[in-house]
Parts: sequence; structure tokens; C-alpha cells
Amino acid sequence: MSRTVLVVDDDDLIREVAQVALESVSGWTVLTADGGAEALAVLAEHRVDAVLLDVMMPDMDGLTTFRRMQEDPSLRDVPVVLVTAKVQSGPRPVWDGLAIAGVIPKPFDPMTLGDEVSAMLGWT
Amino acid sequence: MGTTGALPAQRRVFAVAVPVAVALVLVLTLLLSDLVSPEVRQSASAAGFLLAGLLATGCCWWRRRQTEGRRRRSWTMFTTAAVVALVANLFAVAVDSDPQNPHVVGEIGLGAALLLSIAGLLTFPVVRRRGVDAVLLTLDGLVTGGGVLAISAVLVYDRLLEETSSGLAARTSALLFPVLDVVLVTVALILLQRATGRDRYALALIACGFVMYAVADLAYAVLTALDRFSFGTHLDLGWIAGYLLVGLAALFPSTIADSPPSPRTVHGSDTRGTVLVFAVLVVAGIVQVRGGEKLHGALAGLWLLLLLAAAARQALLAADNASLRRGLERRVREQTADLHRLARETEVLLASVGDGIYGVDTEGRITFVNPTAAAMLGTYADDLLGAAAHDRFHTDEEGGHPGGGEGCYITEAISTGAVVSGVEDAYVRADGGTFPVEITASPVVDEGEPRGAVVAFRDVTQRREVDRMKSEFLSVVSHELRTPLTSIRGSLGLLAGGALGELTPRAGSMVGIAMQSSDRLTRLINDLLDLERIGSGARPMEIGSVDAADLVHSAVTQIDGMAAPLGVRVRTGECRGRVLADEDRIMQTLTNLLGNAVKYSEPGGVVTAVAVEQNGHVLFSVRDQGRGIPEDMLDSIFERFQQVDSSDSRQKGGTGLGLAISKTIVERHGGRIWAESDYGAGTTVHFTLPAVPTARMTHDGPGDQPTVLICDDDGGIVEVFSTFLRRHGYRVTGVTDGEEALALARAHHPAVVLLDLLMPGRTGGQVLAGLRGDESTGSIPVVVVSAIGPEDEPGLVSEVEGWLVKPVTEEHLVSVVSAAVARTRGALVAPAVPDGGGE
Repeated sequence: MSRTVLVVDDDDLIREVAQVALESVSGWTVLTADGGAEALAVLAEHRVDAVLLDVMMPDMDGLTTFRRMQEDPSLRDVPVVLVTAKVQSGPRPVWDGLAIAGVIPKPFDPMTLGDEVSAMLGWT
Repeated sequence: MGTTGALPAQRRVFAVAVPVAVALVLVLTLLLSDLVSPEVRQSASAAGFLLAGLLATGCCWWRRRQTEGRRRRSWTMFTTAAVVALVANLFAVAVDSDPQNPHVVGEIGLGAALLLSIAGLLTFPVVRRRGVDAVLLTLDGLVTGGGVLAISAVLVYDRLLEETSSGLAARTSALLFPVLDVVLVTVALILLQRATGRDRYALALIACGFVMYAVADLAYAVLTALDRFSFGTHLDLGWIAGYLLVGLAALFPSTIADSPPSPRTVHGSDTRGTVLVFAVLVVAGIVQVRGGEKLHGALAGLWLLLLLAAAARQALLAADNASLRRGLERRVREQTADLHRLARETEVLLASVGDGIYGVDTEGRITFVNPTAAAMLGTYADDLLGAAAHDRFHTDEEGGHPGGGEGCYITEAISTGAVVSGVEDAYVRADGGTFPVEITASPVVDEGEPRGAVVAFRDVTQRREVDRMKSEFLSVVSHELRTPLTSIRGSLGLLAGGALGELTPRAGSMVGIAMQSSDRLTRLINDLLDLERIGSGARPMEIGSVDAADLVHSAVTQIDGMAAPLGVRVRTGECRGRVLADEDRIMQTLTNLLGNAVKYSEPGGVVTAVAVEQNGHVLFSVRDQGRGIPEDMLDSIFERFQQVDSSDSRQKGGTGLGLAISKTIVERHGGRIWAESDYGAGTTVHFTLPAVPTARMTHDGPGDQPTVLICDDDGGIVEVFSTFLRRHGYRVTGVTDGEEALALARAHHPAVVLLDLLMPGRTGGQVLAGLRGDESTGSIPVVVVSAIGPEDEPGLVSEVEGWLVKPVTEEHLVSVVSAAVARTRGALVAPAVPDGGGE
């Protein structure tokens, strides 16, 4: 079953790798955004099945973007997977207690990225 | 050299000697009475003389052997004098000397004995005099001696001179002996007045002896002159008693070390001296007047001399007193100047201290501010003096201590009398800005009365900034390194995975190498950051009670997937016990050790993991049958980037940090890790973790009372402190292990933690760091109870709410604990890493 996902990352190389991986390995439709603001703009126009969200981004970071989505009734139910380079930092992860679907640490394995996301979201 | 007679033994001898001497005198008194025939009396008297003389000689000789130095010389002279006198007396008896015309040898002997006695007395060590005192002593001697001489002159000499009929020798000796006697008595009296300590009693006895002797001599001289003297009367008792008293003086208990006389000033004896001198003068005057004699030539001269000496004495004394007073005044001036200098030094010291310091009185008004404090607060000391400290310093702003004196560290220090340290507060500058400070408030107690408190504060802006920068740096490094790695790894993964089309075999193998290297780089970054975080405590352990068998089984299951393709079998041995551990971290350690064991095993090898409970610890062991580790590498393998073979990191895919991380984790748990190896036959890595105690916890007391957690490795102390605190209504939980304390603190949130510092395994300092590093326990007040004082661990002082130095009284313990219970820490430390705080 073909899915549409939004990959949000400020690093265009990572965006491209993720897009290629999800398109060619999993066969999904991939939209991209280079930051929180653009992500919200894309989401306003397109319906997506999931958002892969980087945490540390300039301007609007991942968590802020996530909260903005939570505030919007039409986006509240879109599942969010955090993709972050900061998995082990801090005494307690900042996303603790937030309604996120899962966390994938960077660097990720492109060949299994789609499978991991599917597993987190219960896609078959 | 003489032997040192023990004082108690000497006392016993003296206690026997006194009654013997008294009995001897009493017997002789009876024998010399008129009822007895003259022959018997003479024999008795002669025997008495001989016996008393011998006793005196013997005693003086014995004392001479017991003493040293000047005292020994004195007693030598007394001994000699006694012998000479005895011989002279015996000689007189032997030649049957006529009192009216004595034999010259006997007279010379007696004279020598008197002179020796005087010399002995003068040698006797007494307080050494300075110049004026020596002159005073001489004048005293002159006046006393002169007075006695005047008395003798009126009472005796006139008649002697009138009555003595015979030749020059008789006259001379008749006059000479009384004079010598008078000198002897005078010297003894003055010495007595100047002597110190036990010498005084011995000298008193000697003086009494010589007085008896002198009185007998004078009476003898007069009676001889009157030609009425006969041997064998009560008069002889005078000489005999004289001998006995000198003997007793020698026997008087004293030790060698008893008296190097202390060179103290003897102004107390000035009064005594004056009284003695003037008493003698007055008596002499009365005798002179009553005697009715006219003041003829020599006697008038004597009186003139006497009065002049007395006047000189008083004048000298007055002058001496005046100079003494001037000396005292000078010393007072000097000491006052010293005090001023000291006060000035203290002032300069306080002004130079880098920390802000201010003092408050019991009302909380500022009484003192050092310049540093004023500068830090952006104001002048004068503006702060007299202000209410609570209003001036507290702020309701973030991190600040709320206003008012309630629960404030200053109030705390004054009311409990205990040092309150490590409190964090925010102070307001004159311009309205605030800055974070760390406080130590100490009570000022003067003679048991609380006088206020002194507060030292330190600006911790920089320290906070450094901490923040360090964690931010870690965070940035982590992010910045992983970002390019993500795209490298992603591209390579896609290429290698064939998602972008088939690669030629050579290209595929090259891409594979690049992918492996990027994976290794990723692990390296993860491990480095991990090591840094665990080591610095930025990531606190989340200690819980974990089953050892579960840990081992999970780890073995994880590693099985890696072991199977290598043909290595991983076996779980016997596993028992529960440990206090951070489950994830110990899993990390176990999988690391198992992974190493598998990596270095040959195909077909067996890796075994076991856990054994022993002595409050659980010992985990991971054994392999690999190539082993050389003896000299057994310790260094736990250091960073230390591998037995430098090519291992490439071949085996390790980072060289795994064991360093394991060691850090185990040590943070209060455990120990080490390796044993039979080179060529396999390696065993052991580590210990604290076991969950079985019945060590003791909860009781009413439920609404604050709970105190006591952590001391000495179970006896835990027991004692628990008893003390329960008596005052606290609930008490006692543990003997630091790790346990941390787990219980997380589970129960006690009101106060009492913490010993010197404990095996996890030290008190580490426990404290563990408590402070966790949000849930960070604000629990901690009171250190240790054998070492805060000065030995200055770094900890600011971290704790109280410090008790063992031994601790019940009262002190309870007061400090209740103060700590009442405390609310000024501010919670913000989480170390401001995660997601934006880029």
C-alpha cells in the first residue's frame, strides 16, 4: 500500500537520502520541507500519512513544529516520528510525555528506514 | 649518682621519723630531769648528743644522695657540718674540756661547722633574683640580722662582756659563737621567706633546728660566762633537738625534679618580708627600751645602721614598685597597639577576600559588609549598614529566596546555631539586576549567646555558565558530527543495498568498506559521548532493584544473534541475587563484555556468564576460551583506546572504548571491575554490584513524621542514630551502603539524608553527587556525619545542608536534623542539558 510521508530536515543531503530511501526501497510518495514553517505550509496543502521530523533545526525546531501541529485540529491526528541526532543527550529526553509515534536515531539505515517507520505506526 | 627515692616511700619514712624524734626528745627530757643522778644525766646527754649527731649526719648524707646540682652541694655541706660538729663535741668530751677555758681545736671545729652550715644555706637554690631584689634581700638580711644582733646585744653581750673573765681566746669564742649563731638563724629565716614549694618545709625545719642550736649556744655562752654551766641539763636538749630537726629536714619528702625554682616574681613575699623586718625591728626596740641600757657607742652605731638599712629598703621598694608600674603601663600600651594592629589586619583580610561577606545581628539588621560584597551588590558598604538583610537581599524573582525571615538561611543559622551552607539564592544589585549566588551562613556565638550571623556569598554566574557551556558543547558536537554521518551512511546504505541499481563486485566491496567505516565512526561518537556523560554525571544512574538472572539472560539473548554466525556458544551459568543498578547501563556493560568475549572466541568456543551473591555484592563474571590477555595488559585494557592488538579495532569492529565505559558504569554503581586471564586459554572479566539488602530496612514510627535516611557503613552507628531520632518522633530508614541509599532516596523521598563520607564502595561524596544529579532527589537536604571535618572536604561544604563531626551527641544530631528538615533549598538546579532549546 502506497503511503505519503513528509520528511522535515534542515540538512538537504539528509533530506535527499531519506527521500531516495523511502521512495526506492519502500515505494512511498515523499514530500520534503527544510524547516518547521515550510512543513506546516506543506501540511496545509497536502494530506500525509506520517511526518518524519528532525528535532534540531534553526528557526522553528521539531518540537515547536510538533506542538503547532497538535494545536491544529486537522493535523492533530497525523502521526509524527522524530528523526534525531541527539538520542542520548540529556538526563531525560525532551520529547518524554509527548504524543509522538517514535524516535529514530541518526544516522539511520536507509534500507530499513521505511520498515522501522511502518513498525512504529502499525502499518502492514 | 643517687637513686630517685619514690615520693610515697619517702613519706612513709618521714612519718616514722617524726614520732621517733619526738620520742627520743621526750625520753631525754625525762632522763635529764633533776630526779636523776648527775652521772646518769651526763651519760644520757652524751648518748643523746652522739645519737642525734649521727642521725643528722646519716639523714643529711642520705638526702645528699637523693638530690642533684646546687641542692646536692647544700646537703654535702650540711653533712660535713654535722660530722665536724659531732667530732668537735666528741673531742671536747674526750679531752674533758673546761667550758671556761675550752680547747682551741674543739672551738675551731664548732666554728667551722657553723660556717659550713651558713654556706650550705646560702648555696640552697631559691628563686633567682634580679638586681633590685638581690639588694633588697641583702638589706632585709642586714635589718633582720642587725635586729637580732641588737636584741642579743642588750640581752646577752653586755653580761657576757662584763662576766667573761678569762683570756682573749675564751672571750673571742664566747663572742664569736653567738654572732655566728645569729647569722645562721638570720640566713635560715630569710631563706625560708624566699623559698618555694617543698623546699619551704625543709627549710622551716632547718631554721627551727638552727634556732634551737643558737638559743642553746647563747645560753651556754651566758652560763659559761657566769660559770654556772654544767653538762647534762635540759639545756643540752637544745643542741640535740637542733640535730634532730636538721635530720628531719633531710628526711622531708621531695624529689629531684621537684624544684628548679620557678622564676616568678615574688611580690606576695614583699609584704611578708616587710612584716618580718619590722617585727624584728619593733621587738629589738622594745627590748632596747625595756633593757633600760643607755645607747653607748657600738650599739648606737648598730641602731643607726639598722634604721638606715630599713629606710633604704623601703625607698628601694617604692622605687622598684614605681618602675614596675611603669613597665606594666608600657606593656599595656604595647598590647593595645598589638590589638589595633590585629584589628587592622583582620579588616584588611576581610576587605581582600574574594567572596562577599556581611554580618547581621539577631534582628537581621546588617552590621558589617566587606568591600567585595558591596562591590558585587553595586553599592557602598555605608548604604547597607543598618538595613534589614531579609528585605535587602531576598528577591521573589526566579532562583531567589522569597522575602521575609521565615525559613531563611540567616534565621536558620541564628536559631539553630548550625552552619547553613550550599544554599543557592539570587541577590539583587543596586541597579535592579540579579545574579546567582551560593551562600554559607554561620551563626555568630559569643560566650554561648547568639549574636547574629555572618554570611559569605559567592557569585556563581561563571560556574553556571561553564556547566552550561560544557553540556551545550557535548550537545552540539553530537549533532554536528552525526548530521554529515547520516547522509554519508544513508547514501552508502542505498548504494550497498542495491536500491540504486546493481554495483560491480569491486564497487560493492568498496562501498561495503566505506559503510563499515562510517558505522565504526558512529559507534565511536556514541561511545565517546556516552563515556563523557556517564563520567561527568551529566546522565545520572537510575538505580532500581534488578534481578541479576534477568540481566544476564537478557544480555545473553541479545548477544546470541551475534555469536551464532561466529560459531560461538553463549551459556548462562548459575545466577542469583538482586542488585541495585541502572538496568539499561548494566545491560550495556554485560552486552559489551559478552560481545568482547564472543569476538575474541574461536569458532566452537564457549562463553559463560554467571552471577554469584557474596558479602553484600553480586559478582558477575563473563568467561571466554579465547586467546587471553597478557598479564601486563590486564589493567590497561580498561583505559580508553587500549586494545591488546592495535589492529583489533578494525578487525573486531570495536571502538576501544567499550571497557572504559563498562568500568565507568560499574564504578558509578559503587562496584569494581577487573580481568583475570590465563594467556592462551581464555579470559574472565568480573564486576561487582551492590546487592539489594534483605532485612536491613527499618521503617517505623507514626506515618506523618518526616523520614530520615541514614547512610553509614558502620551498622552500629546507624542503630544508635536511629534510636536517637526515633526518640524525637522521626521515621528512620537505615542503610549501610551508598548505592542502597540512592535507591531508597529515589523511592521514598526522605525529608533528610544523613550521610557518612568515608565508606567502602560508593563514598559519601559520590552518593551526594548522585542525589544532586537526579531531579527527584536533588532538593533533599543532606547532612554529612563524618569523622572528618568540613575543612578536609572544602568542596563538599557548599553542597550540603549541615555537617556533623563524629562523635555526635543526641542533642546536636536532633537539632541539626530538625533544622535540615525545615529547610527548603533556595533553587532547584535546572536540568543540565537544555535539550531542544533551539539551535
